[in-house]
Amino acid sequence: MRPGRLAIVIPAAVLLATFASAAVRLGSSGEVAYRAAQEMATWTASGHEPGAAGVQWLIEDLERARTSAPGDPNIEEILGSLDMKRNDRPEFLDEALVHYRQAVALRPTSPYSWADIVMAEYRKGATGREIEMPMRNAALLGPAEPEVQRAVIDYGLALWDEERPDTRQAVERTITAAMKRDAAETLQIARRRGRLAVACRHLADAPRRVDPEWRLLCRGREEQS
Amino acid sequence: MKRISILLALLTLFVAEVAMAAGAVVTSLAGSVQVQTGSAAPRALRVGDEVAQGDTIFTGANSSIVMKFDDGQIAALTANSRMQVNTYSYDPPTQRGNILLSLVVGGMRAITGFIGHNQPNNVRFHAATATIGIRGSDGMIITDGTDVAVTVTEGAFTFTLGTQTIVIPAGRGALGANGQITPGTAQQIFNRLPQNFQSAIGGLEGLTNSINEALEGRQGQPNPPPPPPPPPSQTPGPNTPTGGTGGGSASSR
Repeated sequence: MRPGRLAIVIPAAVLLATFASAAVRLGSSGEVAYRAAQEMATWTASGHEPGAAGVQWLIEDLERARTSAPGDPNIEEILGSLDMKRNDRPEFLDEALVHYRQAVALRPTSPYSWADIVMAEYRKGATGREIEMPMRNAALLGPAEPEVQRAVIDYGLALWDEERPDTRQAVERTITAAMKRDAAETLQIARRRGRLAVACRHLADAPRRVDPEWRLLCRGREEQS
Repeated sequence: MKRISILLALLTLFVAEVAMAAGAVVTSLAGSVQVQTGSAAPRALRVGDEVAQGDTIFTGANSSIVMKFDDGQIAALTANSRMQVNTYSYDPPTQRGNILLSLVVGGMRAITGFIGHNQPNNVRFHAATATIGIRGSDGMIITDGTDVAVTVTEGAFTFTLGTQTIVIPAGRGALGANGQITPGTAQQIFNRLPQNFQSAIGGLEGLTNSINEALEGRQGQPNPPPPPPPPPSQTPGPNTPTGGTGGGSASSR
């Protein structure tokens, strides 16, 4: 082979080998993340949490996968969810937030990752920018995602009295979208939070027929106010 | 394809977490009430928050809270109370489960739900060194951490202190102090209570409206007339339970 061709083939082969190795590592980390998510689903479905040792084993598997293939936001999210289960340790929420924030850094367009941060910050008792900024981002990025809608509406209405006007607007926009998807569920969340009147303002956005009892409840709210 | 599989697995996880959530929902709250989960720092509780096994609830001065558990059990706390949810499990299809609540200090009104109705032996309250069992539906427990007073409005409670156990029927009460249980009418018990105990009872009586709203599932909403039977395509009504985000992970999809 001519030296000129070798100068092209050898770097190309090295590049190909590097890509192949990265692909194998990514595939392996994806496999670990998949198995971890399945395992956690089994725990909750059976109602039997595995105890500290079982959680720790899964964390060790995921951390090994993260070392071999850094940059997988799914692994960060699962590690965060595992930390949320370790509430026997005072720092569990802070550790979960580290993983959720890393997931956001790796995949800033994911509304689910922002919603994870909202959930963890709420459980920490956060108010103000710490929770409102991720709440607005989740609402902006996932306006039609049911789980994101639930999180934004639930925590948004919980903190309603303390929120900035732009956060309230984001929550109201999410309520509008959620009323179109499932009005009864949205009204139920608002009612649980003692904020039925906020959701009732969007009753007209519900395209499907809503139980007449909800309409009566909403009318009652209007008369009261 | 693998990434889609991961996302599907996480969605399964989310749905399962919402379905398996067991505990209580805060239906009414006044003043400053905090909850401590495990060994995390206490955080403020708000209406609609969930309280689960392992949580400890603290009420501040001039504060109160009403919680409704999944089986319909009501627990209302008056000001300056501290209560731990030691055990709460509930299986809706069989309406069976287990409740153990510890009132460390303060006043609590307890109204039993399905578990108390179906398995009265599985509903217990600890207050200081006393254990209170449920044989009925409605009563108050007050403790300063040492002495314990119980009054029963409906049904009957059992009151155990040391080796002594008595049954307290409706309209009566008992005071447990210095290792002895002294029964009497509810009024006699009330008259013998120190001022701080009487204040706690007054605070609990002030929660009657909030407790009634929780019992009716209204949470401060107007009570409409019963709706006509829904057509098959209709969306669920206000009394149809739906899962909130609660403690579930929003990360799952």
